Amino acid sequence: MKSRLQLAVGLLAGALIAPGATLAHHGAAAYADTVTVFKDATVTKFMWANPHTLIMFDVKDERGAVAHWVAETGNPSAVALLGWNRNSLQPGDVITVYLYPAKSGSALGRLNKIVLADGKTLRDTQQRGDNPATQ
Amino acid sequence: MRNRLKGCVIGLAAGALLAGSPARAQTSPAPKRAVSETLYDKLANNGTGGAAPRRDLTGFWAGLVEPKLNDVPPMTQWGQEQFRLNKSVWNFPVSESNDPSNSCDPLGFPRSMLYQTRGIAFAQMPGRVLELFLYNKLWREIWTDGRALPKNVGGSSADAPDPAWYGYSVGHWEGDYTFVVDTVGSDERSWLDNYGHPHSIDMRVQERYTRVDHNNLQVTISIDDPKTYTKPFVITQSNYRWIPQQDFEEQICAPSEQSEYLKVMGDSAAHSAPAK
Repeated sequence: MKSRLQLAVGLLAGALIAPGATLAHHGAAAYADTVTVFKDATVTKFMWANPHTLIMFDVKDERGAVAHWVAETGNPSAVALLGWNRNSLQPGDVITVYLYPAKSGSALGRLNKIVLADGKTLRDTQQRGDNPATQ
Repeated sequence: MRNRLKGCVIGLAAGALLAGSPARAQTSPAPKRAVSETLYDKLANNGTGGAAPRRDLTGFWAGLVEPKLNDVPPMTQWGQEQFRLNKSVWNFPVSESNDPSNSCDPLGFPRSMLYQTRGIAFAQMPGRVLELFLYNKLWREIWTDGRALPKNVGGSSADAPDPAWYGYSVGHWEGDYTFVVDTVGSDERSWLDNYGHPHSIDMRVQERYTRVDHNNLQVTISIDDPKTYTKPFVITQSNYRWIPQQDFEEQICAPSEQSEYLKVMGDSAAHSAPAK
């Protein structure tokens, strides 16, 4: 019932997806439903902690101005099951970040996945995330 | 439906306002299909493990982070008044939410069985069963020595027991495979669920744990709180799977880490995207 209603609302609004029904704690309402991609993102800090692991990174726009972004992921217990560990990222790593940006316009987002320099992909737990079977 | 529907509608409307940031290289629609990667899911094909042992829940069990919850029935006026005071993260930014868990306050009972339930365990002792929770490494005692539940918890008489975050619980077996736990006296400061639904000190909770086979444990949780809700209801029916390695990782809500998280994510003004 709950999911069907959400889906109905989502379709009505022309959205591609309804917020997942099992997102933990933090509502999907804070974040956009579309993924934004940041190429050549430079990791500045990786916080492996509860409640959500945080990735802080810098990206440059076309004029060379640096923006500081933060992506939150599932908590360590959850993302560890997806292949992450506390040493997955180091400051200075250059990665590609896929995230759902905050609707507030702040430079924050919920992670979808990252792709490391060696091509390895680490996905987040977000239920509306992409399907590994299709990758 | 709850408040998510409201959040969904608002969220979708707000989503239309999203403009491209200078730093965004490209935007693409989110794929529809969901990732489902929990220990619980990974154990889906582990089979039954054979017959359940008689009158024995001992062991470590994996559940979902948040079991599917049923809608709550209409609230009483008192219930609605309490509900309005609770600002969940589904409807408010983290920085404005007053969810007790934002500051690592106890989830309390029964919220500890309705959220952060990726791991629960039981240890049976003479006269009591301990239920252990992965989240925050805590436990509750379920007395099986025949004692009665305390009366008038939180009342004004001199001998009234204090409210307790995890309440007062007694348990008994119905047949050989269903363990029934009755709980009273949960502290009103705890929320019922992540949406901020309230409960009163008069709430009675019943959990029925049925060990279906060696590897599966089903639980049904019923709420009876006439001060808050107009009728009793089943808030969840969920399942737990036996963890083969019989161990938990550590997951602690550490106030200093939580504080750092809120500093980074809660103060969104400090992280505004650069001007275009």
